[in-house]
Amino acid sequence: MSVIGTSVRRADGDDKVRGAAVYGMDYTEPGALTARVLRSPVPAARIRRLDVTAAAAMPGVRAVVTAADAPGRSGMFFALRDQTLFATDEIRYAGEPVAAVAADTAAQAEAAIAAIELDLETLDAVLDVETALDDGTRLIHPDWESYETLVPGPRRGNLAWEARTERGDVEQAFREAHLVVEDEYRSQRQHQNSIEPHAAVARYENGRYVVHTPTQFPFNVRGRVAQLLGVRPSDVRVVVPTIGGGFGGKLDAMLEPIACVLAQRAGRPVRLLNTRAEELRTCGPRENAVVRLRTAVAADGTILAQDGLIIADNGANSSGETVACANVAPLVLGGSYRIPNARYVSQVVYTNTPPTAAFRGVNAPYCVFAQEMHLDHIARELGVDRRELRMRNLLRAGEPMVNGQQLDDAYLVEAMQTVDRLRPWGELTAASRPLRGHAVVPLTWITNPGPGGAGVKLEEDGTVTVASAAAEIGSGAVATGIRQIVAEQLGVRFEDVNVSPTDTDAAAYDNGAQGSRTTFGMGNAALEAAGKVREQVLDVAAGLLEADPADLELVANAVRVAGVPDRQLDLATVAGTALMTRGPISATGAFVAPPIPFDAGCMTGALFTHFAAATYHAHLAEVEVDPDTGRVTVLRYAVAQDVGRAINPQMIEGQIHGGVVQGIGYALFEDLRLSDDGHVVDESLETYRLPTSLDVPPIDVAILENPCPYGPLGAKGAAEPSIIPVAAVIACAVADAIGTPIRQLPLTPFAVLRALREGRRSRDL
Amino acid sequence: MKPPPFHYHDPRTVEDTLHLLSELDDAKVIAGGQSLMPMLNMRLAQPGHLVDINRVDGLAGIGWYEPEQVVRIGAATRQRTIEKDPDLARRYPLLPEAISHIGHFQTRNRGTVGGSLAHLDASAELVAVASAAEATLYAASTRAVRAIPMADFPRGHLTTDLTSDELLVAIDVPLWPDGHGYAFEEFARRHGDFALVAAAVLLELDTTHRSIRRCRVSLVGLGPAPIRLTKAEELLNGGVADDDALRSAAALARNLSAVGDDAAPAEYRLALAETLVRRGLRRALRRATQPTTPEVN
Repeated sequence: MSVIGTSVRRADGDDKVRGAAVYGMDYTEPGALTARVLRSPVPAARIRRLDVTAAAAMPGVRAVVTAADAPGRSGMFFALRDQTLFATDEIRYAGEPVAAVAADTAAQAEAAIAAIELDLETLDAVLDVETALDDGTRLIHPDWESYETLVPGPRRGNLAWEARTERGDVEQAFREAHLVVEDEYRSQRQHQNSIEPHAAVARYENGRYVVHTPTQFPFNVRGRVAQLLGVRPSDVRVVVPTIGGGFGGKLDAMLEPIACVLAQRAGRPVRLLNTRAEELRTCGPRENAVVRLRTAVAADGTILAQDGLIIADNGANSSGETVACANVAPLVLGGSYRIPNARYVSQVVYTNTPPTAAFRGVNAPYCVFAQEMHLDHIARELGVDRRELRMRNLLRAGEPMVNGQQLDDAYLVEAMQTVDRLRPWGELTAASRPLRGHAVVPLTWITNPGPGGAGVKLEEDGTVTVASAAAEIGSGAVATGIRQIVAEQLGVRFEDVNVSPTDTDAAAYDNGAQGSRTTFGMGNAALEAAGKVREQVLDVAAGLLEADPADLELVANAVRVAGVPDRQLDLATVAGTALMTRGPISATGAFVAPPIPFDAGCMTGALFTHFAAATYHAHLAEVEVDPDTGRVTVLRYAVAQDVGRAINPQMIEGQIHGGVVQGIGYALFEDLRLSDDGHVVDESLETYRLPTSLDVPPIDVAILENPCPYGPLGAKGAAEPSIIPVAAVIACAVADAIGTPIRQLPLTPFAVLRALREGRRSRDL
Repeated sequence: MKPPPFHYHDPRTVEDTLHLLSELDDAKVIAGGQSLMPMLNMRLAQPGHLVDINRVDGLAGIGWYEPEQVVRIGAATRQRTIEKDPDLARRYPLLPEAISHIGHFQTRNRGTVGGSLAHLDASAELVAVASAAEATLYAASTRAVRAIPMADFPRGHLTTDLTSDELLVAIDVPLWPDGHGYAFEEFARRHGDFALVAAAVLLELDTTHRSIRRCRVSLVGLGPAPIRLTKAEELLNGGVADDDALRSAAALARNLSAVGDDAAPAEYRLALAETLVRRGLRRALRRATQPTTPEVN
């Protein structure tokens, strides 16, 4: 029986549930020092004097480091190298590292931090993107022209990056339109809030840095540490203990380079762990953004053209991937609907605020929120049913998205129809009444196409080990998915496939647990390696069984002659024989998503150019609004999601539930606020509100299998996308309930009550 | 997130407790610890001494004083005990209803009645109830036992009339006639969050069941101390119990002033105040008109 499509138990579940798992923040080493970071108290200043002499002479202090100890300049994905590890001459955000100390005890480290002399000349802080772009605003990076970039990108002054996607004749379409609708939408910062904060334990050993860190993307951390410290990537080894959540927040190097340089200076291991307040203050949230959309439509609701401007807040530097993902915004805006003429300008802007970074569904949730609210505006103007407007404009199989990429397997109509079977739109609309609302939203999304390599070996006892640097972020991709794929390929029990610990020294490059890629990318690499192992097994077994390899099959940890059950060998025998005859059975596999044709000429400044292994989704929400308090209650939720092939349905359902809940947080609660003087307001989980189980409605899930020709056994990415449409579908449902559009996230009770009352007032006029 | 160093005292009698409080400088009484422990851990409070009253005899319990028509609740009575008490459910259902909103059941298993009142959080449910109920608080010291009317108890943000050597030992809650109306209304962003605003309502109809003999309305969450909505009470007392009257009374909440903060803007708190008073009055009236068997949680 195939193990594919079964909800096998995850390898790490038992230890996690029993508290036996050693997370990054649990890990330490003998003799490890405790580190503390001096962070800037103000958002913008020139450093007049930084003197660590007194601090360095204090009892128990083993190392004090500053910008002088970390000469490199870097940026996430090396896209725009505008970041130094510590502030050099200028401070660009409140919380920016200025210096760090390693000492025998935490109290000694804290005392030394307090003894560092820092004399600052404060500067006017530039705190919002619109001011930052104004002529005459102070430049946050006066040396911006000297920064290296991965590819050329339009940028100037406080405009850190600009990506453009243009196709067709937008102006012509607007001139000929039946109707032109224009809107502006705003969205907030969202903090990833992994249960486990960032943590790093580094040592300097035989001239190399060894750092244990719960990162999603060990090879990125390796490269970024190397660049910031001015060494080669291979001078750094990254080992990953159990990860306590990431959601994009643990893709980038953060504490690792600080711990590394301290360990090198101190000659002792150094452990550095963020407090919850440091997490909220400094750890790269989802970017706040402004989205302006102007759309031309025909009388029947056909979209003729769209002109969009996305202004995303980069924060003080590009240590997060907001720049690298700038072109995701045009792709997601133009990936679900047929938009023959389009012009999208995606701007990423410097401000004196903590840098923004990757969060599950990079750049997408606010773009989809804007697009869907905007479509509802169009539907209202035209008097067309909201779902009908979407169905008319939905991309069908074989049609191109905005970058010219042909979506041969588009499955949006099917996703919408599936959701309709779960919660029929006609019935919901017929039963509609004041303060109850519903909405449905389609989505096309990416599977991260990045490279990965795996090794597979057959052990002497007939079990199988996969050597991989893929990180188990919690989705089960490593703990179940890769093991299921390899077990299927080799006909062994799922429990007899182990995966190596994650270590950059021990396995090939892997592009990290991001963009739903581990089952897809690493799954493919492991599948290829397992295929080669299979051939070796058959070759050895054929000799022993005196049979043709083509007549053999691998079933139940054994090789047997097909149709002759008593002529079989267990895999241990095959492995043992191979040791003496041909050497150990092992092989490697490698994968990167194949190139997909698209129109490269329509994009500039794009690091993301297309949607590999695209997935197709539809989300539906039903809400109720309390007219007196503005409280939104999500009553029901339904998801139809194309996963290519469901390797482990239970893991997929878990990811869908988690994404919907995280999306509810973004829609209704989460808002990482900055004060007027540039400090993060929400420094604890008391005011940074995450949804609880009581805020979650019943969620109906339909998993759709629409195989990807280059996915492992047809699989596509599954973990990331379920967060993306949630804010959009809830906002559209709330707007439906109160009869007033929503233009800003999150939908706090204050905002909803205000919208209700303003709507009432404007209707009374 | 660990408390600063403190000396720990574990008295077994009220007498010993009062001696400790009179002798020690900078002492804090700890009972359920549901507010004090987080404040210690966040270093918002740094007392030199903690006097733990969890093992002190005679501070917990519910006593019915029929001639005086009061129910006396020991300060160290767990909130969960009040919430589950069948007699209170029947005779003073406002208390269990209000307590069901406090934190989570784990919080209520430890949290005490006296602890909540002595902490005097700006949006505490029991503070609203004590205010509406016109409870009397008993403060004991080596000097005397003093009765403090609830109206005189709050002295500012998280500050009460208790002196540093006094221990809150009990509260007396005057009983209302069987079948009286009551309601506790609260709005919090999430289950278990601090309330943004909460309203406690008590209401008694006259014998015709058409007019309100008397009612009490208290609000918390608008400022540091609970607010009795006396204007609304005056408007309703002796008047016809119809929805127009209730709405007009609730609308008077709009004339209050509220403090805005990171949790909610002032104008939103005032809008909530009106809404919660209106809902509370309606529910209390409904309950007074159609007395049903009280639900026991």
